[in-house]
Formats: sequence, structure tokens, C-alpha cells
Amino acid sequence: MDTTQLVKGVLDLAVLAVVADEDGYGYDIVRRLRAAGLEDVGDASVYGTLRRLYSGGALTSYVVPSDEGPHRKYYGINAQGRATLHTQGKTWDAFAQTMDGLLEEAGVKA
Amino acid sequence: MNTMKLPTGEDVTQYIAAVRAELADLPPDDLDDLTGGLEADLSELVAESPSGLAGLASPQEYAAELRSAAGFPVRAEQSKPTWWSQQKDLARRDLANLAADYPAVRQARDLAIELRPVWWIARGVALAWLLVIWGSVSMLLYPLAIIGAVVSVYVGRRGAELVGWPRRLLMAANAVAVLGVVFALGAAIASSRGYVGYNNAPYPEPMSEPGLQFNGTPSSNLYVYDKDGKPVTDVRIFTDTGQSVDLAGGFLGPDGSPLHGPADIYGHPWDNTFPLPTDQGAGVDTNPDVWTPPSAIPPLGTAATAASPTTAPTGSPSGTVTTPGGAATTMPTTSPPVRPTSSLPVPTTTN
Repeated sequence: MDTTQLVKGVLDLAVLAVVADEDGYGYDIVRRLRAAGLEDVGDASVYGTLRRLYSGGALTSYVVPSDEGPHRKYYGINAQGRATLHTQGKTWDAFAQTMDGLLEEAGVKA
Repeated sequence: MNTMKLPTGEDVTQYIAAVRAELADLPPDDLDDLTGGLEADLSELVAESPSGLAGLASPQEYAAELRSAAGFPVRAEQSKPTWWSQQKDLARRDLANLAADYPAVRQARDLAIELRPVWWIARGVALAWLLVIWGSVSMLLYPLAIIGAVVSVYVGRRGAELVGWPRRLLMAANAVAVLGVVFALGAAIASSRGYVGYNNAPYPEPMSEPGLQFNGTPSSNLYVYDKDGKPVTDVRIFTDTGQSVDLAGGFLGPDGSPLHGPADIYGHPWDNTFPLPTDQGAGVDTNPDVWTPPSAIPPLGTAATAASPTTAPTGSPSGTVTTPGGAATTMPTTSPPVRPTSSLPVPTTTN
């Protein structure tokens, strides 16, 4: 199964989850996602998701100037983003349990 | 990890420019939001990646991924940014920046927006005016100007909705209308200047009505009387520049064929033969102002001895000659001339 399709469905949740700990700029967040195991995630998809979450009010954004190169755009989670993370996390949890149950019945899962 | 030096290579800058070009259809603010910080992110990614920039997708694919992840609609076909559309975006952004920085610019811009209906009306009138000149149908100027103004205002209120070829048509119409307004203003200035010296002008102004005029009133016929005051028919008339005074030409007879005057011995028709036969109408509308010529007018003084008293006018409403003595048997040379009721030239006053 192509995991990129799966990642697309949960990218909002994944991005919110990695930003919940600490603010980060675009490529920093990509790096965290990949380090967590989502190695197929496309960086442009992450940047676009950050932009959409920001315009949806779930993230804050600020620019940090750099003396050494172009400025970095940082994103941080806010109260609305945490609420979204909570409800979407519950939804994902229920969905994952359903899938686990299905796979257990099929004997795939140990 | 963040202490790594960020090489902003020209390659990355070019790559981002290509990506932005792919997203040029987005509103400028959205575009900036979406690509803000991209330079730092990509520089870092390229520096980390073993394959460098080559590991990235094409700018088109990259832009499409950004766009769909950010939830923007897929770009409409055929809306590739042209050089012109990019200039327009730049100009729009410059104006927005100017307006943000300078209140005077903001006020001028707002005033221009409020005055747009004036431009719409001017555009419609200018196009109607050009149409009238082009088709030389001067009598349609006012109705066409009103129609043009109404249509132009309607289009102006809905102009933003136009896309594709109707929009291009509107742009072309705008360009033509701008030229029309300029020419109309020029013509108005020229005519207001020329009017002062109109009476001194050796030639009638080129745009005047065709045909014969006397003191500005169009004439559709000429009546000629000889020195005895008797009407003369079949007189062929020329101007002092040798042009035949051709009033019948261009008029249509009852059968629809062009009306011509009587032919000479060689069969050549003379359209400058006067008076024109009035029973054929000669294309003249039944104007109530048209004068009914008297069957005779007072003879000239030098011919008074030859005048017969029985030729006193009888057919004209104003043709009754009142002589001081009340006697019609003698025609005094001081009898008041008969005045026609229209502004047609009095035949005896020709020089």
C-alpha cells in the first residue's frame, strides 16, 4: 500500500502533533515528521498544510530574521490548534482501533 | 543543527521564482503566505540532501503539491502567467503599497474608483460617436449615444465577471473608446475655435450637410424668374467654381430609380435643371415650410414699361401686390417687392 496516500489523510494531525511540543519552521517540521517515521512525506505538502492550518486559525506564525540567509517562518500551535489536535486525535484513535479489530479478525494481527 | 550556514544559491532562488510563477494566479497575499520562508526551507533541504536541487520535483509539480496541500483550487487551464499579467500583478501590488504609505495616493485611488461611472458613460458616448462618424449617420448620434452609455454602464458594473474573449473584447473597446474620447475632445476644441471665424471661412466646413444651403438652411429647389417677373423653367445652374448645382442627384423617383433631370440633345441628363419638378417630389419630404412659388412676381424696374398689368400675381398667398394708388392698371416702379414666406433667396437679389 502506498503510504503517501495514507499520510495525506492524516497530515493535518501529524503536523499538529509535531508542532504541539515546540514551534518550528517549515523544513524543521518536515525533518521531525521524517524522523518520526513518516519518511515519504513531501516537503511541499507539509508547507502547504502549515499554510492551511495557519489560515484556518489552528497555528500562529512569525518570522525570524537570519543574518546568515533568508528569514525563517516559524509556526506554533494555539488553543484552537490544540483543540483540533485533541478531537482529531480521538477520531484517529477510534479509526485505528476499528482497523485493528478488523485485522485481528482476519488473523493478520498477532 | 540550526547553526548550519544557509547557502542561498542562485539555483534555489531561480527554483522558487519558477514555483511562484506557477502560483501567480493566486492573490498576492496568499502567494506570499504560501511561499514565505520557502527560500530558507529549501536552502536547508538542498544543503542536507545528497542530490541537492536535483532531488526536488519540477517547479510545476512542487507548486501543484503546495497548492493542493494548502487547499487552493487547481489552477485553471490556459491561465499561465504571461509577461503582461506579471506586470499587471506587480503594478497592482505597487499601487497597493503606495496607497498604504501615502494618504494622497489612497484618496486619488478612491476618487478614481468613485468616478468610474463617468468613464463608463464617456466610453459609451465615445463609441457611439465613432460609430456615427464611421457610418456617417449623424442623425443617429443622440439615440446611439444614449444606447451606448446604457450598455457601457451595464458592462462596467459587471466587467469584473467577464473572462476569456468577452474580456478581451472589452479591453479592445476600452482602447478604442480612449482614442474616441481624445478625438472627440480634440474635435470639440477645434470646432469651438473654428466657430468664431465661421463667417470668414472661404469654404463651408467639410462636415456640413450635402446639397445646397442658403444661410444655413438646406434648400431643395430653386425658382427662377426673368426680368418680366415670369417663372422660368429648365434653367441649368452652375456655381462660380463650375460645379453643377445638382439637387436631384441621389434622390429616387417613384419607381426607385435615380431621378435625373431632362436630357440634352446628346442624351446626357442635366440634374442641375431648375426648378425641379415638384410633383415628383424630387425626394423632398413634404415640408410645411416649403414655399409655394407665385406664378409671377413684379417685373424689374428697367422692364416696367414692358410689364403688363394682367401679370399681377394671383396664385401666391402673399402675391397680391398692393399699389399705392390702389389701381392695378399701372405698375409703379416703387412697388414693394413680394417677399417669399420662406428663407429661400429672393431671386431678384442675386448678384
